[in-house]
Amino acid sequence: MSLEQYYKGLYYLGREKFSGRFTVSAHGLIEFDDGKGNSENISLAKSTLDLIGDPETTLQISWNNEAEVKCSLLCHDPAVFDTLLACHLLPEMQNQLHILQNKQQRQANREKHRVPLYMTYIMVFFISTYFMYSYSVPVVAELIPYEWEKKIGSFAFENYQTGKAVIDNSQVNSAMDMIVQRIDEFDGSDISYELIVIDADMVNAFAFPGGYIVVTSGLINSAEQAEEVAAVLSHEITHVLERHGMRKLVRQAGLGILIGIVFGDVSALSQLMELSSQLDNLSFDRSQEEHADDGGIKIMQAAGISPQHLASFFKKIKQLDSASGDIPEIFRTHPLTEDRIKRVAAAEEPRQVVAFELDWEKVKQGVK
Amino acid sequence: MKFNIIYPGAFSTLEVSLDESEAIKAESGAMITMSETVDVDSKMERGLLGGLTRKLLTGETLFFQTLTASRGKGDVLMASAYPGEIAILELDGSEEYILQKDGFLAAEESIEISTKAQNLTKGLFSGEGFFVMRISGKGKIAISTYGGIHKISLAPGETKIIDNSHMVAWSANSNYNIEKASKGWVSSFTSGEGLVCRFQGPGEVYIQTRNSPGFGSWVRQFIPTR
Repeated sequence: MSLEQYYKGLYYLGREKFSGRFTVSAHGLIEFDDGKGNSENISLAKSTLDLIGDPETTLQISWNNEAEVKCSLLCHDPAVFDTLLACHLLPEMQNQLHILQNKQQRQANREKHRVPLYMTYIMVFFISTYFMYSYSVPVVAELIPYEWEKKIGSFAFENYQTGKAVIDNSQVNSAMDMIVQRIDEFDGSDISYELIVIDADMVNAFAFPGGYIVVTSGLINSAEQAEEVAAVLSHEITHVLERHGMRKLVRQAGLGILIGIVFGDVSALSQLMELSSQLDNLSFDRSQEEHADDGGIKIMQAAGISPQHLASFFKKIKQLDSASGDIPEIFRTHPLTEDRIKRVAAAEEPRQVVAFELDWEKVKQGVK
Repeated sequence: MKFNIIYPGAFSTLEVSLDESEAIKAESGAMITMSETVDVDSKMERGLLGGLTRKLLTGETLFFQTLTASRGKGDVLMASAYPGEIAILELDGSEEYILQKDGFLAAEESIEISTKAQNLTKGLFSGEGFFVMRISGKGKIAISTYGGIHKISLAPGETKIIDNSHMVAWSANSNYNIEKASKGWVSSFTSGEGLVCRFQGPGEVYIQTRNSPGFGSWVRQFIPTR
C-alpha cells in the first residue's frame, strides 16, 4: 500500500543528478521517478540516513548500488520525516529518524534567527566599544606616569608661549608667587607649579597638565583683590590634580594611542605631545567643572581664602558677559551656569581667613 | 524568456530575450542596452528591511533593477563591472544555491534572493565574508565571476578542496569546512595557500579561475608610490 504522498527529491547516481519526485510505501520502500523515464526503487532498510547541507536540514538517504556507485536521495521537505516514521521500520531506524527530525528542526530554527542574531551582535559590539572607550578613558589617564604628564605639560606650555607677550614685572611676579605658594602649601600634593602672566585683554586662566599655569593680564585687571585670582587658580589647579587635561587628551587621542599607553609604548608619549597643542581650547564637561569647583573650595578653605571670592568673581564675569554679549574666554572652556554659582556661594567659610598682604592696585598697575 | 551568453570569455555579456509582460531582476547598473519596449524600475527585494540587510551585510546594492517588457517583446544586454565569465543556473525548486556577494548578475522574477549568515569560521576564513546570498525558487539565474567559470560536480560523499576566495556559487546541499592547506601550519602558509575550503558532495560548486583579492595584490606592486 502506498501512502500516495509525493515529495520533491534529488537523486544522485554518482555525479549524475536527477530531479524528480518520490513516494514512500508502508514498508519503507521509496519509489523515485524523474518524469523522463528514469526511476529507482530504494529500500530504506539498506540505506544510511543523515542530514547534510548548510544549514544541515536536507535529509540524505544514501546507499551503494550493484555497481558499487555511491547513490543518494536528497529531500529538504521537513514533512518527509513524519511519512518515514509512519512506515514499518526497525526500531533502530525509527530512533535515528526521531533524532534526525529533532536535529533538523533545531537547525532550521537556528538558521532563521541567524541573520537577526548577527545584526544584534554587530550592534552590541559597536555600542559596547563606545562605552568601553568612554569608561576606559579615566582609567587609562590614570596609567600615564607623572613624568609623561610633566613632559606633555611643559611641551604644551612652551608652545603656548611662542608669539605671546609674557609680562615680566617684579610687582606682578612676586604677587603671583605669593598666591601660588599659598595654594601649593594647601593643595595636598607634591606638584610644584610654574606660572606666567601673558599680556592679553581677555579674562582667562588655565593650567596645563603637570602644573603649568597661564594667567592673562585681563584676569588680573578684572579682579578686585588678590583673593579672586587665588580662587580662580584653586579651581584651575584642581583640574591639574584630578588630571582632567590628561583625560581630555586621551579622549582625543583615539584607540591606538590608548592601547600604546596601556602597554607603556613610548611613541604614545610623542603622539600625546603633538595633540597637546589643542589643550588650551578643549573644554571640560560639567561634572569635571563641578569637581574642580569642589576641589578649589577645599583648597581655599584650607588656605584661609573665602570661597565667596570665587562666587563673586563668577557673578561679576557673568554680568560683564551679559553686558557685552561676549562670553569671556575663561568660560568658553569652562561653561558657567547659575547652579555652579549657587553651589560655590553656598560653600562653608574657612575657619580663619588670612588675607594676602598685597597692594592689589599696584599689582594691577604692573600689568597695564 | 531566453538567456544567452554572447562574447564568451573575459568579456562575457548576457543577452536576455523577454516576451511581452515578462520581467527580470538584475544587479543595479548591470544593463548595457535594452529595447524601447522595456521599462527599467528599481525595487527593494524583500522590502526595506530586506534591502537594508542586504546592503549592510552582503555589500550588495540596496535596490535591484527590474526590467519589464511592458510594451511588447524586447531584449536586454547586461554585464557585471569586472571582466570574467557568466554562467546560467537553472533552478527547479528542488535545490537551493548559495552565492557569494558579487556573484549575482540577473535572475527571473520567480527567483528569491535572501541574506544568509555563515558561521564564524566560514565568515572569517572562507574569503566570502559573513553574509552571502541564498537563492531559491524556480527559474534561471545568471551568475558572474572574475576570471573563467568552472563547474565541479560532486558525487555523494566525494570531497574537493577549493582555495578560499574562489567560490562563486554552490549548492546548499554541499557543505564545506575550512581547513589548513597542508598538515602543518607553517607549510600551509609558506605554500601560499593558507586556508582552504573542503567541500563535500553531493552537489555542484561553481568556482572562478581567478580571484579579485589576488589580482588586486598583484597589481599593487606596479602602482607607483608618490
